[in-house]
Amino acid sequence: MKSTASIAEIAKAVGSGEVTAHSVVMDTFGRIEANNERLGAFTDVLKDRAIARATTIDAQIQAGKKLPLAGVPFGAKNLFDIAWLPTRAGSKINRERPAPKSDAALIQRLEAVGAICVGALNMGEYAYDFTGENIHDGPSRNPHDLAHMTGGSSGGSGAAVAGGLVPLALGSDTNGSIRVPASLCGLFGLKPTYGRLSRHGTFPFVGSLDHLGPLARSVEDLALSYDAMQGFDDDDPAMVRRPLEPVAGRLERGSAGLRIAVADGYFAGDAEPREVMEFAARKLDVTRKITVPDAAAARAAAFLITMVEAATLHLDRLRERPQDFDPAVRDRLLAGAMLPGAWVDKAQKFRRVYRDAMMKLFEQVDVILAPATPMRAPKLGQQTAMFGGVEMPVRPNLGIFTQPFSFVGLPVAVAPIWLDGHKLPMGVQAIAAPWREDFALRVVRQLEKAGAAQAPVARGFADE
Amino acid sequence: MEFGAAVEMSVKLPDFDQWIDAMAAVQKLDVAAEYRSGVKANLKTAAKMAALLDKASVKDDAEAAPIFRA
Repeated sequence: MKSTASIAEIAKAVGSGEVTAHSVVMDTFGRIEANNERLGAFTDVLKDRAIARATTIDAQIQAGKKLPLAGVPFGAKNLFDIAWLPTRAGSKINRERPAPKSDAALIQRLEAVGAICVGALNMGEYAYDFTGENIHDGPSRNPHDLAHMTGGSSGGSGAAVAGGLVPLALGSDTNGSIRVPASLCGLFGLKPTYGRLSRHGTFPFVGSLDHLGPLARSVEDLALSYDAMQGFDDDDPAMVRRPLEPVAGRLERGSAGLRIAVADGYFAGDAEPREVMEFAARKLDVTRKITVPDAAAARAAAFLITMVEAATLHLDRLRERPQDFDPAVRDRLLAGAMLPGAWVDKAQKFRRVYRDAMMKLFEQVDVILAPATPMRAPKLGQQTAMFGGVEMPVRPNLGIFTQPFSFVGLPVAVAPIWLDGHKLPMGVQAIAAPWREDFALRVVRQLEKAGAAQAPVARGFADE
Repeated sequence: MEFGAAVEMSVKLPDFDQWIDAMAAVQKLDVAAEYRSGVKANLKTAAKMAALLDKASVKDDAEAAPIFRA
């Protein structure tokens, strides 16, 4: 199968016996071997395991078994447990820990329907970055311009899918770590409602904000993988017991009947995101604006909760071996260990206030549109950029537009927008009320159908 | 645009060196000299964020609400 093949195409070809899962994984490993060094996407490749799995799938197909994701290769951010592989979570420290004996719940779910995990993907240390740069494993590189960042912290996930190594990657999103790489690498991404997908078997960052989800090159691929991962899991204490709510069959409704508005004020952004938002709104025929109240305070609250919860998680490691952290991560964590409790308590209480305010907005609209990032991909190593006319650090500020929504667990889909005259994309977020992933995905599907959003394999990485 | 980190502080920032010394002792952390400027920069950003959040209104009976229920 070509590097541009979609999940649906691969599953159909393998499921019908037209190609074997074995040949799909061998093609995948050929591409990884040829391109991974340039992309910095995979940190571990699971050749033996994947070939064994492909052999099993081929036998099952021959025996007449139906597998919705038959032979679909995917990678998982290296904070997902993969049996017998240390879960490094982007760190030097964790790779010394004993390897887990089983896979993370979402890997199990995907493999149960025929997908094949081919490796673990690069990420920012302990998921505490928006750049995709890792001091221990090297940076993941943006396939559309290797001198630029992928965004993070699911940077390897972005590089692997945009670079055509795999059609699907799993990432995590605490403050924007799926949505930022989707925006900078030109991919579709989904951060579902908090409590929707099981986080069992993943290394945490900020438990009260951590979400997991997929990145892919089409909305259909996103939906197919998301549907396969749904389902209650007792082993994740944050999970909410809900029925399966598959979305793949609803995509073609597009934005018909949905009340959509563009977020203004805090989300109006600088010229770059404004231009992208105007383009997306035009394509969706949306003129309505809506103000998200207290978005800056929500972002501030998410920022403080993140600092303190992450510091608490790593306190023993900070005491025992601070020299083994990425200095940029270590200094943020050390500072987080020193913050007053009253700040965090107020942030947690404000979460309820802000959640109620967002729910009121969703009485008026079904989907809110906002930029995913304040800029296109910065160059690797770039420390600062202009935000709102002020020079500020890149690392914490790429998430200014994503944090106010993950703060209260809302489902968000990202659509990648390419404007004439720009060689790099920028994403648009479609934000919906809790549990309405279908609404968010229908809107990004509408953008895709209208030709306004697309996620091609990067030039130079696509098969001829 | 009201970027959080760009908001001017209307409150006086504390002496971060004293803060670090006190809290490092409380938390049993060794803040090496080469870490100090990074930690200070992050404390400064956190203080700005806290000042932003301080402007938001939270009622006395507000409770934390981290997740949605079905």
